[in-house]
Amino acid sequence: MKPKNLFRALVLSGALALLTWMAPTSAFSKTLNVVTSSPDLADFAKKIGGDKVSVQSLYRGDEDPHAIEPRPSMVVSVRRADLVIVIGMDLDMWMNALIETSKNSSVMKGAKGYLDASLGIDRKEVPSGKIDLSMGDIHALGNPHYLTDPENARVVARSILQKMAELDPDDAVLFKKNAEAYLARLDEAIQKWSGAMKPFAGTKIVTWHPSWVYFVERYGLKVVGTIEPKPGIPPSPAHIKELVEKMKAEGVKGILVEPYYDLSVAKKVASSAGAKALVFPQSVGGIKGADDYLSLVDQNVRNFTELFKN
Amino acid sequence: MIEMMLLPFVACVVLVGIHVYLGLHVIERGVIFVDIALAQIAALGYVVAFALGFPFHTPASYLFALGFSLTGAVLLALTRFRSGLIPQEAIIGIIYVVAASASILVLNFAPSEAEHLKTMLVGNILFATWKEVVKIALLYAGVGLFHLIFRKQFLQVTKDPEAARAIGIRPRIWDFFFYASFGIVVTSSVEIGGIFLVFSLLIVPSVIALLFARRILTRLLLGWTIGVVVSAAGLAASYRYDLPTGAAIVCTFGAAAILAGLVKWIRVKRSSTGA
Repeated sequence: MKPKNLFRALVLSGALALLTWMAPTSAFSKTLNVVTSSPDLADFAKKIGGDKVSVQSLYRGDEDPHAIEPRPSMVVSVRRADLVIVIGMDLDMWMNALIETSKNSSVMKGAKGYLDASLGIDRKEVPSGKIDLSMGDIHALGNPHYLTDPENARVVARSILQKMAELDPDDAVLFKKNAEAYLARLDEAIQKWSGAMKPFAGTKIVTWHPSWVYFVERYGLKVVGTIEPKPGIPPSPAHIKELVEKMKAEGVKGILVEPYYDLSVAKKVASSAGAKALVFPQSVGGIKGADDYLSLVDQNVRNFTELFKN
Repeated sequence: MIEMMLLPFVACVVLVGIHVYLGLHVIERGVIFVDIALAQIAALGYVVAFALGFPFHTPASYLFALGFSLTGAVLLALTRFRSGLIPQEAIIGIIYVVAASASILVLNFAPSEAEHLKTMLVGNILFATWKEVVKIALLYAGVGLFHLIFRKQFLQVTKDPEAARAIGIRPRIWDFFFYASFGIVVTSSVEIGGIFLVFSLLIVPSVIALLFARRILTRLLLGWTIGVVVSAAGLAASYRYDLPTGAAIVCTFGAAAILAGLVKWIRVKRSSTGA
């Protein structure tokens, strides 16, 4: 072979190898393909859909939902999805780009296969009055951490049921049955949690980020301060000093920290205020044993009451 | 699923086109981190605009970023000292950290939550859209044409500003034009590809080209080829092993640099023992 031909053959076989290597492994299924951003939404969808749906969550509970690094498989998942469920309220904004890139028109915003789980939620911290266009739509929608209040899980589960029944009417009866069973368990758990948290009404806490507003209001807690004055902005020495003094003055015994924030910083602040830092996950999978939404809240309530009981 | 990686690939090809050329300049000038500094200044411009009430992706916001970039270009043109006492890399480092920290301070006073800012400024090549790709292609073509027309001035000022002065080319002005066009390019590139990817497209193909070629045109052609091939390999790896796309491409460029270094080393050894 002449060198030129050899080169051509090499390039060609290289390209061929690349093509076969990249070939997708597609699996056809009749089940409803549900893709959610958060593992909590995935949990609800699984509980309601049973074996009639295949559910995938795009981030894990120990990942910061604000900062997800998208991978090609996520685009593939969204492309194959019949239903995409997002947390909304700008928490999982990267989902928009993902959906657009997937070119799956049936799950685009506004299409039948798109569900914004925050619809129907009684939104907190929606800016009122002074808001103008100059602020963009950032945070204009309110605090997106609504699933920290178990009552909102009920609302979300209902919207998921409705959407899934709409997309797969043949299985609607089954979905309804599953959802009712799940909601019954949820109601029971909510009762139990309320009972356990009742003695702690008025308890003063510190959080890393203003991400527990819904939880705090549900159980009548009081947030004395946050470690980060603004998300992504490191606290100033004066802020920390002030926070520690406030914690001492008000007798705060614990700081709640999501697993993706810096626990060592929280521990330092806590120890100088004579308090403790508690890993407090927001999502399923954020801590060992939190395999679904019920066990997640269960664990959080247990750890919370344990820490604050004296 | 090649279709999904096609648009990111086209975006890479467009980026490679202008960045390999600029990379050759940057390495020759010894201002390796200038793109990161200029990108940071542009980001500061966006952040200041935001704090003043101009949302992203509006003309006003872009004008702020552009204004900051041009100011950065002036600074860079003025700080190429003749004495050589202070290397320009030092100034670039200062510009970078101060701009980065200043944006944190400004965000501290921004009217609303700032956590989305970073993701809005730094793009992800996986999400490139046709509109964006066409936009940067036109922009870079314009910048490229400008550099092609004034290639004598740009090349001379990069290579030897004193000699340029001797033949009537004013180094400060052409330095400014260089950094200004660079700033315009980098601001858009980072928005589509992210900081790390843009940096590796700028530096790695040019470094490899410098190892193996002497003439500017040969270096360009070699750099372009390497840039395109390595980007494709990185995209393929990202797809095959499901890795974050930008990071996968950057690491593939790293591997390419190591490989090129080895090849060069072997060739040098051979020729020295063979002689």
